[in-house]
This record gives sequence, structure tokens and C-alpha cells, in this order.
Amino acid sequence: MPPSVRVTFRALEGSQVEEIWRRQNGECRHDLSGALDHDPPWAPMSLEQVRSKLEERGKKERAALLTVWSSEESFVGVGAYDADWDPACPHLLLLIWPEYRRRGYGTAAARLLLESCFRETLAHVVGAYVPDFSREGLAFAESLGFQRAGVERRAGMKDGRFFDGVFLDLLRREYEGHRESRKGA
Amino acid sequence: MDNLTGKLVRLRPCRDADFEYFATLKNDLRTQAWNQRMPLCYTAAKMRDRFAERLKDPHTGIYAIETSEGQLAGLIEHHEGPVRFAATLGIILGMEHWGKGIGREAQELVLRFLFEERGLQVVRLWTTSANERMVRAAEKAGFRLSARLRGAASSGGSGWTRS
Repeated sequence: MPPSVRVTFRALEGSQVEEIWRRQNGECRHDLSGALDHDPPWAPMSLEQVRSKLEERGKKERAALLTVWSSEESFVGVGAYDADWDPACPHLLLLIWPEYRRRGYGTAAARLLLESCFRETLAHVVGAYVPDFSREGLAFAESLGFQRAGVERRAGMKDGRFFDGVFLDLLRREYEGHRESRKGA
Repeated sequence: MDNLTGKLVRLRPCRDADFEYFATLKNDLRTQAWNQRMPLCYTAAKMRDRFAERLKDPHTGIYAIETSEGQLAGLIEHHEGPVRFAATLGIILGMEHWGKGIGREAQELVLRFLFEERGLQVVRLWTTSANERMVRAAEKAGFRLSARLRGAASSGGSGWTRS
């Protein structure tokens, strides 16, 4: 990651809802349908549907839906922190829009999220979930120190085939070790 | 298949009289399955309200487990999601009924219903690695261990893995 890459998180506002809706109707349909809990995942959503799903998500306790911004003020993706089930084991989600990938925004945003989890909360493990067809997503999670915890067999169907969902987790001590090794590098 | 009746058990809808027993099971750390975050202060009324809320979802089933002698032994539930594709199963059995094949048959009846009558592709079950009895029972019923989420639960003051 270039050392100059910086991102910030902001709360989700109305204009970004439209951008998320545009993405769900475009190249990020499958990724966003999962994040928006939309079934069927192949179907486009209306702006109203997207707004309603985001509002529903916003009602969860100990959860945050974040927009990711570059230092050039571009809206580059979305992130989510969800500790609704258990504050000690939050679940993270990150999606960078395709044209902003491979520029370091994902890594910067993920590190910021992890830093918030382990430095600002009592989390002792952080979880993530990536479908097995997303080799890029899996490699990205592993580059952050996440380890594969197992799979959810037949998590869904895509392109006429069943796919598995891969559970990943990162313990606090592993994160701290990873962090220290980055400092030393 | 003929309803949800086996040799040892019958699965039936819950009745008002069942909730006192269900509350007792939820208030015992040994029988409230892996969900040990809840305070141990369940009442019959609270159980009834929770079940009524969950049963508003047409894809959730909650059954009382009754022995062939008509004795209430526990409860078993399933929740489909995505509908007609996958379901998650949960079971709580009173300790006095452990080791008699009751839980295994109740689980088998629900699995047959879900796979054969609902046509599901996959049924999931979560427990903690501390609950070795449940892990063994699940494996006997044909479940395969597919994931272990590290540090996802605690028991007896120690961290445990959820699998």
C-alpha cells in the first residue's frame, strides 16, 4: 500500500444512498445484495428498497454502516461494523467500488476498521465472511492477518453452481502481532 | 413420512403448559445450548412471548418434544433461510432425558422433514466446542464440522470455539 493512502469513515447520508442504489443496479449487485440482505440476489433493487434496507440495518444495536472516503474527497466504498450479536466478536464488512480497487483504499480502510475494533472496543476476535469464488477477497482478508475458520457449505448459488461461504477470523493477539511486524518492516 | 412421530418421541406444537418447563431448561447453563449470553431469569411468560414472536415467521418451526409416554422432554426448532434452501436447527433437552436416544430421534425427524418434505439443500447447527456431547450427537446425525469460529463463546470462565 502506498504510504500516502489515507481514508476516512463518514456516516451514511442521503446522497450516498443513491450511489449505493446505482452500484446495486450495476457492477456490485451480488456484493451489495448480500450486504443489504436482498433476496433474490440477482434482482435489481429500487431506490426505496435500498433506503428501507439501510434504515433497517441502521436500527441494529452496536452496529455502524460507514462510507469510505479518499483524501481527494471521493466516495470509494462502504464498510460495516456489526457487534449486534456479541460485542466481543464483531463482524466486519468492506466493499470498495471496482474502479478504486488496487490503489490501497481497501487496505487503509480495513486497517482503520481493525484498529477501531481492537483499540476502541473490548473485541477479542473479529470475524469476516467471503464467498469462496472471490479469490481476491480471500487473499485480501488473509493479507490483513485473517485466518480461515472454515466454510459454510452451499451458502448459495451463482452462475449455476453452489458456492461455499468462507468464515475468517482474527484474534486480538494475532492482530497485535501483525501490527507489530508491519511496524518493524 | 407420517407426521413428526417416531418410536421414542412425538414432535407437537407447543402448549401453554409447556412453557414453565422450557423456562427451566433456559435457566440451566447445562441445557440452554450454546447461547450462554442470556441472563438466567426466564419465566414461562417470557418464553411464550419469545416463541409467539418467532412463530410469526412462517419459515420457523418450534416443537415440543414429547416421549412416547407423553412426557415433555424438551424442544426442537428450525429456521429456514434462504427459504427452501437452508435451515438452522436448535435443540434443548432436559438432562433427565439425555442418553436415551430421544434427542437423536427428534433431530432425525426434523432433518427428514426438512430434507424430504421441504427439499432443502443444507441444514446447519451451531454449538460450542465445550459442548462435546452436542458435537458427538450432531456428527452421529450426519452433520459434518465445517467451521470453527475461534473465541466466539465462553464457558466456565474460559474462551471456547463455536463450531
